[in-house]
Amino acid sequence: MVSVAAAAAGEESRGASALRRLLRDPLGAFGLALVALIVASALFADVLAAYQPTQLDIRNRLSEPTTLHWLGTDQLGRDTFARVVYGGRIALLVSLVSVGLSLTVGLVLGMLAGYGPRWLDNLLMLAFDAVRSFPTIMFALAVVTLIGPSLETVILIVVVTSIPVYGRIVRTQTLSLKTNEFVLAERSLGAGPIRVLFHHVLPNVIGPVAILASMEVPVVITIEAGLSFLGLGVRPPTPSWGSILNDGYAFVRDTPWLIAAGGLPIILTTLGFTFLGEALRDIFDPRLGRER
Amino acid sequence: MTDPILEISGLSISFRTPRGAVRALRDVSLAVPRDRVVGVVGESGCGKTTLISAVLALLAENAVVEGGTIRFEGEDVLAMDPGALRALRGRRIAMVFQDPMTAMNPVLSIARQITDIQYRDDASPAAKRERAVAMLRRVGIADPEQRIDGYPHHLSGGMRQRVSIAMALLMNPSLLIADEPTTALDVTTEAQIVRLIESLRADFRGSILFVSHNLGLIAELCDEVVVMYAGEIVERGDVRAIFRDARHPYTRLLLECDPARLEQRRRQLPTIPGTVPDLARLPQGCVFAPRCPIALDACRAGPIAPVVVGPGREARCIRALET
Repeated sequence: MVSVAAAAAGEESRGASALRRLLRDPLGAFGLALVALIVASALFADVLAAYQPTQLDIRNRLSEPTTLHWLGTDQLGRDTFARVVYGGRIALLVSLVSVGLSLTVGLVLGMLAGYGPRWLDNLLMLAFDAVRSFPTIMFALAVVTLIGPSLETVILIVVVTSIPVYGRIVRTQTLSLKTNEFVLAERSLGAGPIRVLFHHVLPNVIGPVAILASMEVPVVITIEAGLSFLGLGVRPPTPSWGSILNDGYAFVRDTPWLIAAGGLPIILTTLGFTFLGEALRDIFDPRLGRER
Repeated sequence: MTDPILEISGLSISFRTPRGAVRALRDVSLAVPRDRVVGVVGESGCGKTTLISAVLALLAENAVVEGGTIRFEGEDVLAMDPGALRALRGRRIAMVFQDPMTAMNPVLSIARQITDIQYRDDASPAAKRERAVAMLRRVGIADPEQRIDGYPHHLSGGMRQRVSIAMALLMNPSLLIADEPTTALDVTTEAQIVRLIESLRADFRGSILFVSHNLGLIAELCDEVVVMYAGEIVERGDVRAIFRDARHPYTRLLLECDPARLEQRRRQLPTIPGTVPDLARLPQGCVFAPRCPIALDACRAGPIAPVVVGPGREARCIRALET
């Protein structure tokens, strides 16, 4: 009886124990710290930055880092530090919105493909394969050419190209879950397909997919930065790490800090989310790394 | 006696496979009367699971019902629309599965699962939980208030099977189907579960269809027995009559092979020579003829019809009435 009570207590504090294990893993703790730093800087961008990111000051263009402009100014005299922290907002907005959307749509389509009739499965898999058969960047170029560059376009591109990633994983998981006896048991007790999917399949697939999503965030950030670097992402003057990088690229001989200001946040965010995602995967996926 | 709760007549089901049609059930007829326990016994692959899946209309996608009817409380199950089927399952027919280790969702708490299946009720969550706790206590779970918040992996196999039985009985079904409920358990736990089912019979008002390959259990629990072989019912009738005087040679051999019934010590357990025929390539006549010690030429000539061998008793053998 004691052990059951203890186990129940352990179940309740699963979140807390996961956090403890995360902090004990040096890479995980480092990743969490980086992510926290980036998120905080984006959230409090208006407090941290003394200037508006789009405020021009032509006389002070390409200024070196000073006490007023911590990271200098760009070719139009805009404060680079402000552009970096506001650019973080764009990067996180794009990545969270598009990962959230593609996760949701991918989950639903994947469960339908795995649980629904054979023809629906074939149709969805054909659609997934068709989308995945384009190289992402070529697909992005084509879409931007058709509907023009904007924040929404970037999100659309990311959502369309990553739905199949989630959809496939969820489909496979659903296929193996639906032959499980507990699904048959639920059906024999009168559960319909919606009930089986949302009450029984969903809690079983959400874990692995959530970890995949956390690893997808840096990928999305680099896609957004890459498109913005090419001038195909968010429209100027909205700050983006990619466009900061592009602005700095023209003046790399004279003002190398501009490149650093655009590039470092991308590197740090990517590293942070990757370390965090990997640490979470190790903690939650029982098949990988036992007690470390 | 009133109408039987479940009446299956002439049911034939085959599975479409790349090798051709596998005729899993052929001309199966049986009745489960009210408040009675009917046992279904047979080797692995003789169609027991297909039979109970058909009763709940949970057959695999490639199954084809070739003929026959399944009537539950007078309604044709095979003609029901999905909504009616869902109302049937759980509320009027409930099922206990073979392996309690896999029959529960591992990531949901027992409370969540056991209140979840009462979703058709308007009762408050607290009332549902209370009912669940009472049912868990009834099936012999000690400390149900604490246990109910655990997860399936916190429980032993026997405990889980008790929880499955509680879940099945919670909606007070008129038919409980038990698909080898003790096969995955060890012998002592098996005995406890059998005691439990026996004791539940006293206050559970409904019939039980008990599927097993354990003859001892069937003899202990059931009123009537149906013996299946290679997709056919070879013999059915009152359990004591059949155990005393089996009329089909397969039933007789099966009884001889039961280790519990051996009269003297033997170096080897007796077995029935040969194997179950390929259901895609059935023999012409009696399906048991290739393994039957008393088969005649007439047995291989054509299909064998069931022979009435006593009140409520049938055997599918042309020599059933010989002594």
